[in-house]
Amino acid sequence: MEILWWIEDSWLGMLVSSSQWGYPIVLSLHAVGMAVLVGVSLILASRVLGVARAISVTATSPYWNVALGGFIVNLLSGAALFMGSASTLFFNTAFHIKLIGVVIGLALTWWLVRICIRGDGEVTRKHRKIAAASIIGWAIALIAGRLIGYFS
Amino acid sequence: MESLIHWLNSTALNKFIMSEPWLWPSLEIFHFFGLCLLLGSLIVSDLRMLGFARSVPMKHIETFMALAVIGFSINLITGILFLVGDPDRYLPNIAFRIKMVLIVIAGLNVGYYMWRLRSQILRGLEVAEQTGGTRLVASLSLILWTCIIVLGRIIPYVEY
Repeated sequence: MEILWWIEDSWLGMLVSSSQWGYPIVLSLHAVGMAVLVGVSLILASRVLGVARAISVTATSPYWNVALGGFIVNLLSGAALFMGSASTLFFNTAFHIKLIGVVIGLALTWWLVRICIRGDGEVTRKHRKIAAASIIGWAIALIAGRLIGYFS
Repeated sequence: MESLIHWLNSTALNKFIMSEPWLWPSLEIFHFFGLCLLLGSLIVSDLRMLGFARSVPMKHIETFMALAVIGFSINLITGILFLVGDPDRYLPNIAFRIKMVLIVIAGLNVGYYMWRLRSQILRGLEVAEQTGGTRLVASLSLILWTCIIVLGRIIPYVEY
């Protein structure tokens, strides 16, 4: 696993792990990106589950692009955070579970957007199941992500 | 300040929060979940007030606000428990103090919205027809809450 040391010793890895403000700045970006990505995804899922019925489900579709913006921020800030502690995060169980949670949450929200939120406005039982499962995916990501620090 | 910290440290609630190792991380998880709910629902209404997602009817933009209130309530409760559990860490911390000031300003922003803008929005007026600085209020809301999240996140990294 020499490559993990090499990643940590890279310029970006050192900037995140060893400079005075590198880590808090990247961590702050990661928190804001999370709030945007998970926050908007939870809202989209809530609408499919029946919250705010006065707003048609298709009207919420532009917000998916906002969520994707949050995802890009977190993909980049997350990669930078990983580079700062590659040799420990790579073996951190909470980190593995978090990544699985993110993949589940993101994939299910995206699927929901494609077949329901960008659909004909009808919400079926299947759509509601996907919405509920996406919330569970995000919850796994949030819980495991918060526990990464406690596992190391 | 010193006496407040001393008093909080002497409470039974403080002892309980610090004696249960699972409790602090659980509160943190709820705090993160709450902030996602809060910012997510604010993004929907504030961006609509800035002209985004125009197919969302203006008069209904408050319908997601129930989730914002739930998110804020979760974070108020968990936040108070953090404060009681570890007052030495928070009360003297400059990031925490600025964060509290910004939350008060964000509250005043909501108060102004209620007083000046809410009735126009419930009547379904478009942004261009509204008076009272809709765009400024919506922008302030998003900027303030983003800063509040950042300040909260950097509390452990700021020397007071």
